[in-house]
Amino acid sequence: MSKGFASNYRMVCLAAGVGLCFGGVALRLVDLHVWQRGELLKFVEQARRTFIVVNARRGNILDRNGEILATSRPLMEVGLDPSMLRPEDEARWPQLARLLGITVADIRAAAARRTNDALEDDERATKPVHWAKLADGIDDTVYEGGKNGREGILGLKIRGVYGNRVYRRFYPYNSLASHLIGFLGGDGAAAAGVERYMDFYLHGENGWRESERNGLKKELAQFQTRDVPPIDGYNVKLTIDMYVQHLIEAELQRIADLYQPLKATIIVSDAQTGALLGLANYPTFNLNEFNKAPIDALRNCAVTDVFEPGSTFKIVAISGALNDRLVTPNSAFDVGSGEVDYHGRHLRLPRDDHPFDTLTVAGIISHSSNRGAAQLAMLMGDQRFYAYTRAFGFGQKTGFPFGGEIEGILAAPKDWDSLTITRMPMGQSVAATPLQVHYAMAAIADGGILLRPQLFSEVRDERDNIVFHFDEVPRRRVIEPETAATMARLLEGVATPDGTAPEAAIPHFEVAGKTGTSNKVVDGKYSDRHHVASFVGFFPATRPRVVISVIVDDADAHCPSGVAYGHAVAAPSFKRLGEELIQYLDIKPVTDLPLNRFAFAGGPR
Amino acid sequence: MDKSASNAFINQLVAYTLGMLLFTGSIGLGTVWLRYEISVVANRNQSLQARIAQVQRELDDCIAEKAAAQSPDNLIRLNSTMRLGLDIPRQEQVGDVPIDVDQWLASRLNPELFTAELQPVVLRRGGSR
Repeated sequence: MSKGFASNYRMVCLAAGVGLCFGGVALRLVDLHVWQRGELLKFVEQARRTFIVVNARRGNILDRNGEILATSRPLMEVGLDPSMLRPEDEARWPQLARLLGITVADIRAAAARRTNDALEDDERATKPVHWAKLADGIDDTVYEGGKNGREGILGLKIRGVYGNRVYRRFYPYNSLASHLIGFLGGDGAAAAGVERYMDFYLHGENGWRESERNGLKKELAQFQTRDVPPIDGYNVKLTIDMYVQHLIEAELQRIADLYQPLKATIIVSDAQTGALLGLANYPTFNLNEFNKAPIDALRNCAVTDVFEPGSTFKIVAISGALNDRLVTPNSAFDVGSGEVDYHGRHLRLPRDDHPFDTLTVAGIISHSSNRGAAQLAMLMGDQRFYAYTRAFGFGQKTGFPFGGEIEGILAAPKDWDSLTITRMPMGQSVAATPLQVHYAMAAIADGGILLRPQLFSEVRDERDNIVFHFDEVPRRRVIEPETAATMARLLEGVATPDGTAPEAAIPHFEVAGKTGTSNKVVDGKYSDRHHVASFVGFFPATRPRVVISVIVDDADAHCPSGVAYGHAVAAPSFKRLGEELIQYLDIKPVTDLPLNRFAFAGGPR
Repeated sequence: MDKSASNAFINQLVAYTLGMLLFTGSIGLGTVWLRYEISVVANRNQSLQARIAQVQRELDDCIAEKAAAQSPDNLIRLNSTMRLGLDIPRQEQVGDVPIDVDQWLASRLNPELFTAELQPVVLRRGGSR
């Protein structure tokens, strides 16, 4: 056989060439897989590995009937990448601006931001911008287009404009219970109210997964190595009733329209448990636009602001004297004389609006006698009166969980001047928050036990299992149940034609309450033209269901008489709210309660 | 067959090699197919998860819209614009009655049950079934 072209020499050369090529490849493979393995693997890992955070859904805030007060809503955040915009798409910018509710100038401004000039760091300042926000809170239908053929943002096919789906906090009832619910800040961090206080339960735990992505940046699900699912936040159920809260806020708006006060507060609570059914302040704000509200409107005045409680404070002196068996409801006092001797000192008693010569204890409360209340406190003495004042919760926090509650102002007897014992029983020389006054009255309604304000009812997980249940928290016994029942009966006299607030009377129901009209201190003196009007009470007196407080600050300018008296400004609101609550809470009148059971009817204890 | 013959040995070697190649090839192909199936299932799971998340989002959106639609302000506005004239009952419109209303209504609907003379029930042993 002829060897031809395939001579031994040529064959060897060819084989050597092929061998060299294979050897080169083999060497390169060894270089890549052995020597450079570490560096290259790091590069590949960086290019392919991806770490994806899966956001947990924040829990809802519910009222006591399960109505949603705060929830999370999926919305789109639309922005653009300035480096990807094409000039030929500019013709569609007006349509985009219309869909986003912004101007074309806004789009131009965002498109012009090529680098982060605002950053101080030089390296970051020169970094190109890949995301400039145009608008947030955009509905899915606006972004993706409606099912009825309506064009959406995606339908405009503008390159470089895209959206990120985010969960935004949404408050369906806008301003309802705004001072209680609170809100999240712009960065999504809990900023105030229940949102902040219960953030631990509400926020949940974000999940994450480690995976790989292909050259198109698309996740390759088969290469998922670790997957930690998110844990959604728990739902927090409040004791607030959405409808009661609405009634309160409607009443506050009515007061605001009528009297244009500086501020006003209404509180409604369950007489037996201390659970808050509603609490609202005027002025208020829209939770969905909290950043537009003036700073004063964000404050929960019910716990942050103090006022001199005025005559509503008389319940302390009268309850104390009755509880210590120093007097009976029929004990009579000389209230005609304006002077009295006390511990060797000659003191002048405060003036009464309606002068009387003699009043029984029942008369002192129904006619709101300043002199009578002062004499009852003197009968107890400084220390006992102070002890009862503290026992009713004045000068200390009620235990309201958030909002910057303050203690109020209550001086110890060692710091009193000679007139304090005559002024404090009528609600001067002492300052309290609306919530303190409310729960002092609630102590009488609850048979003599001071309760802590209860706002939370339950915490439930996403499957509606109860995680935590909140019970009523009694703070202390202030007065005996018999004294509480007697006080309830005496306070009924206030809302009778002979009392100071017949405007609060509800036909067929026993209303127990107390008016208050306190002069405000202006420029260091008690003003005759600026008052805080209040009415604090409960009903039915012998079997209390609800405690209602109405406190209106500085409504004098728009009162027909020029003075904002508690009976004229606050008591009618108490009555209106009471009548509406009778319907809603199905409160029955108490009829023909035998006298021998009367003493035990102040509360269940 | 003489297995000790060199040809026979080579034939056996070739046969075993081919068998081995087929076996390893099928394992290789099986692995590729398995990995393909795994990726298909993983992608399907991922799209299902995305769909569930989408449904959950839509549900959340519906819940939020429903809550907003039920807000008292909105209902009052609808009451006004639709001229429904609905109002909550006022205290003057309500009368309290001193009787048990349920029993009164029941006795009005079934007077024979409430007014008829009571007949004693007699239980007899081995009575009819």
